[in-house]
Amino acid sequence: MTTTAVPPIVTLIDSLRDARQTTTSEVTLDSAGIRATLADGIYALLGEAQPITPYVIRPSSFRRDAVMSSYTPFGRMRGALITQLMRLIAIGFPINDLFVDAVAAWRASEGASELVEVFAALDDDERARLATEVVAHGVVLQQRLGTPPSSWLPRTAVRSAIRLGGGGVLLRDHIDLVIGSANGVGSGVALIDITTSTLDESMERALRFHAVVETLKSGLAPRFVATLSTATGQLWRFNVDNDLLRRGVTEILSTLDVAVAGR
Amino acid sequence: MIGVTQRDLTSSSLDELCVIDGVAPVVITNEQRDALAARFRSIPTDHHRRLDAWMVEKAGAQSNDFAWSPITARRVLGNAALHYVERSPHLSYSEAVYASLADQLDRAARGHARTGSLGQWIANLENPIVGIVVAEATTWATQIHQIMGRLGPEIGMASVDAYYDVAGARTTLRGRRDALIKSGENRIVVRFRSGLPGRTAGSGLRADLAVDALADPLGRVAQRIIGIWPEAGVALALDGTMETVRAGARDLVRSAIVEHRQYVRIAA
Repeated sequence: MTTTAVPPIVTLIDSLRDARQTTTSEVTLDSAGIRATLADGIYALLGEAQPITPYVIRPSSFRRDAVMSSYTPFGRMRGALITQLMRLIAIGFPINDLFVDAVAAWRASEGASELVEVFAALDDDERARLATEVVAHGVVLQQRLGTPPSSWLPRTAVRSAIRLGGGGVLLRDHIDLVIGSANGVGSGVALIDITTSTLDESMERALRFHAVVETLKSGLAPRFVATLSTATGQLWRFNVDNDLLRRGVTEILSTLDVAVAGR
Repeated sequence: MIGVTQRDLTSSSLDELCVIDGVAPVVITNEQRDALAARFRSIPTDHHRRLDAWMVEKAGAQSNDFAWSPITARRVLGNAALHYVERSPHLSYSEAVYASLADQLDRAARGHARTGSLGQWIANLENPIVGIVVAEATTWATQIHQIMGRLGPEIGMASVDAYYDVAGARTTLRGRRDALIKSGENRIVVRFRSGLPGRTAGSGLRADLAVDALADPLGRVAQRIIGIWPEAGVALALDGTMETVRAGARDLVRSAIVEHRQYVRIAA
């Protein structure tokens, strides 16, 4: 009989643990520099006139047709339920039934919303299909995320809202999991996005957006941005450097340009 | 600093907000307390009024639709957890949140928690929802403690919110305060807020500062109040001048008037 050793699965947390040992290039761009570049770009696009309602840019603003299936009500429910499971896993909370626990947690977090109403109206077949998908994605999440140690200061479902251009532009963000500290000499923060879609270029843009918003919010650039696809188990991790932040700023301005032209 | 000062949450800005050398201490006199009480007594009420910065910001609107949720519970549990962390620094934030959760459950089990209280709500939750409550409170506690660490070594959690019962006016004023920076006789009140600061955020801070001063037995006004919006990466600050306290007290009186009018309209 021949036995083959099964290679251990590298979790996202393992990957970050390894990456923390390596040195990264110094990030010279700070929040003031980024804010100034964005302010100049916004002025060039909007001029002095303030829009009646602000232009809102979110991670989903960078997504294209390739992942539109994630933005159907079904895809959004699946994503919301997986986010709840991630929050429980991140604090090491025991999960008995992936679907039932995710639904209970989601309904408590979400309160009354359009999506909760859609969920309540699902027939038995649709609900069973959703349950199957959530369990499949949940198993990948359990295998590939890992539980961050409490010394890494895990924070879940972290929201951001940054006003720019005198309030004419609002950057809204939601990061599934943030770990590490921005105190001390430099930042040791990692921003982690969990997606039920496959990974593609739009996810890279979303990660750069996360890095820019976090820099504006805390005054320090994060050290890593990472994403895990529960559809494929794929992990992406990027070191945050000047180039990544500059590209993020450019993409925000080009997204705003499209929004302004479309209004 | 004159008026509301806005700063980003960079280390240099936070350092600047903690400098209060030029702010002269101010004290509320007994005559001023009496004058304020007379103003409140002149506004009729058939119930016990409770006024706070939230009502000032919402122009006297009552928060009738309050319900406990993981988000509304996070400040109470997260702040209580940080008291544990201050006493026992070896505790992780999530361990401290579990400790504060256990306190709430203990009070509910002993029958000390009133109906509708946080303890009662938690005691009836399904297990996964408890997990989300812990996750939300842990995130709150971690975020605000990280920012507190950047505000210098003299910062500590405030023991309780400020409450001031206005004599003979059936009115209780509540001033929220999350942390205090104390240096000798000087103090700065720190509030942590969710979301983005709105146009009335400065009025809310003024009201909190006024109630904090009224709740002090000697009427000492804090040299500064800093409101921090972690999600927006923004801090607003106001100096504790007599002008600021007066404006805060005026806004609270105005809220009482608006609230009275709403009651009269509903009764009619």
